[in-house]
Amino acid sequence: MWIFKLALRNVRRNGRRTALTAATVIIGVALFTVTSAFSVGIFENIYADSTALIGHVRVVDPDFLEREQLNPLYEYVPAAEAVAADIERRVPGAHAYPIIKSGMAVSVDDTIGDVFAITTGSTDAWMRERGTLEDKLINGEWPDWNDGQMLVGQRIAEMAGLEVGSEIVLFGQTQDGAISPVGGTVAGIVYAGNPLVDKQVFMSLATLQYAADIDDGALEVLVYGDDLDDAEALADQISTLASVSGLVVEPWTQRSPFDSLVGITAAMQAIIGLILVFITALAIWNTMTMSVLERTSEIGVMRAMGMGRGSAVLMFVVEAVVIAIIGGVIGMALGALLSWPLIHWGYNMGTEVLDNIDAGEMAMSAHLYAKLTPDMLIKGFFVGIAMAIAGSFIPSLRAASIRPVDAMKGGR
Amino acid sequence: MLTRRLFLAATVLLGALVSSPTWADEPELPTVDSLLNAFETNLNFETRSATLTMTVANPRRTREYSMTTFGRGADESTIEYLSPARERGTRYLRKGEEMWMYLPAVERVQKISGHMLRQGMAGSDVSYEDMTSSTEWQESYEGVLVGQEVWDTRPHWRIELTAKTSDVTYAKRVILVDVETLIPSHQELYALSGLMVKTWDMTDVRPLEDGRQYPFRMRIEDKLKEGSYTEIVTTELEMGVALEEEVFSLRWLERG
Repeated sequence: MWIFKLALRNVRRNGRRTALTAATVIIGVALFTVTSAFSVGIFENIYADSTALIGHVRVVDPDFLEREQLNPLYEYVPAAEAVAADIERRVPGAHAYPIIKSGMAVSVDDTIGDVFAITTGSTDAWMRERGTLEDKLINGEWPDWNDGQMLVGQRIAEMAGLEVGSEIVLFGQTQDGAISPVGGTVAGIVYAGNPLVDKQVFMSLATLQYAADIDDGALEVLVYGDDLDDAEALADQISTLASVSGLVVEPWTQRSPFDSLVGITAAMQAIIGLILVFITALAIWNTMTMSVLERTSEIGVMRAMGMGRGSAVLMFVVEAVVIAIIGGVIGMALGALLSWPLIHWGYNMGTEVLDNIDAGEMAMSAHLYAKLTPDMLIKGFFVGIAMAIAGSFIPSLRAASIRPVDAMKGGR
Repeated sequence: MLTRRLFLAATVLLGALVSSPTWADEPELPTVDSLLNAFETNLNFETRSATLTMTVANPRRTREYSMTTFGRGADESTIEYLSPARERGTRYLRKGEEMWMYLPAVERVQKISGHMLRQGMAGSDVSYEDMTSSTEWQESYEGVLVGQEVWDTRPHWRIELTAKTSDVTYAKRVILVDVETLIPSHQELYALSGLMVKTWDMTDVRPLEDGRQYPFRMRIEDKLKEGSYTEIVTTELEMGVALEEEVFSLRWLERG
């Protein structure tokens, strides 16, 4: 207890040095909070936006998985609508949708052009409930899918010079590789700020089934549960159904690049944390070393009066922790304040940047938002304490090694 | 002395016999150019109309198409699909190295260019590039007559053509030309990497009225697609037909 009182007295005694140490902790904690909020926000947005389009779980043919990069239209799930209906009937809370995605060339004038789009064919329900394309409609109206109407991503519309009402002709392939055209009209233009929507053309499932010549099949059956974090449990439930026997049931966490991305996110946060702890600890080490030097004779006297080495170490560490508690609280508040604009307004890096990124199945948005949760603030606070302990430990060891005789001889 | 002279004469005679391979005139080997010209003469025509059936098979399914085709010289040809219903009315026009298609589903004429040229026509093993690339191989390839070998029980000349430039579809062609009919019975087509990408066989060779030999059956295998082949059978053939100029125009392509 007396050590704690002594530490508190020392905190009050040199206000300037305490403020300097506390400022270091404040900056460290605030930076940790902001970077954590931003990185978590970016990745959580990616996961949420991506799984909205790729499903929490998907059911596919095993051979499709093997050659997915080649988009083999012949490796489809037969009677896909029946499979989806069976999943919805037997798995509580599950919503399933058959879907076909296929690369197609958008015709510009009379030449099969160099504008490529990913075409997605699914049900009206998927377009509304999962793609949330109604919210992303920036021009035109909701299509009458059965009348050959389509929704076109904003980037595709821009590249191919398409407007609402334009005739659109796309050239894809049948499952055998024959050129297969699809014609229709542009009912609306959608924008999401990510290529998974903006570089796509959306049409009815039947249109793409005809174009790919795969009758009642679909390349994937996408399944959604209540929470994307429960995808693995959902996949386990679906796997037990007879209707998916011989097919692969895959949660999004096992799909590339998400399988490695989850680990990378955690590692990235840990690295950022370590760097900040190191830099801040250096600054704390500096101020605490100054403190030890200034109080050498005082420590000598206390040591002569019977203060043990451990108590000397503890006195400086407690002093640093007290400062870190104050700094940590202020740092949390400052971090939350600095994160606020990133949470509400985000940062727009421009769609041009995304044109040069092959995001694959990731819905990488040009508009990046932060996400701050209470556990991030708590983590930031404890990072501040860790900074203080790490920074004060070596100077406190130095204090503990002071011999009373030497300290008194020095006259300081 | 006589014995010695006789021995000397016999030795000289024997030496002469051994050193000379033959007394008769050696049969002249054909040149690569003459072989290429010969089979081009067999396969090319002034005008032609034909009905073809095309079977496209892969490990998953087999489809059959029927089509009519008109041709004028080596540079102009048209194809119109008659069946199946999905393809009926699809037409192609080739003029030199350019190609257009008319797609009734979208009522549109499209020029086939860029990466689309490498795709198989109707999913077959014959790419649009195969159809549009120049057949004047003397210009784009350097040829070597390797020798003779037996292919499908018949003697063939083996020619190896190596591309002079990199802008040709196949970097190397190995061609077996039937010694008697002068038809390229078997072709192996190689990519720049040395990988054999296709084989192209011509069989059912029959003489036509004008005396030339003509293959009524072709089988193409894309070696990059396992278990895949395309067989084209000529069911009707007429050479020297009168064709209107419009047949080889974009207007015909659109209207049929």
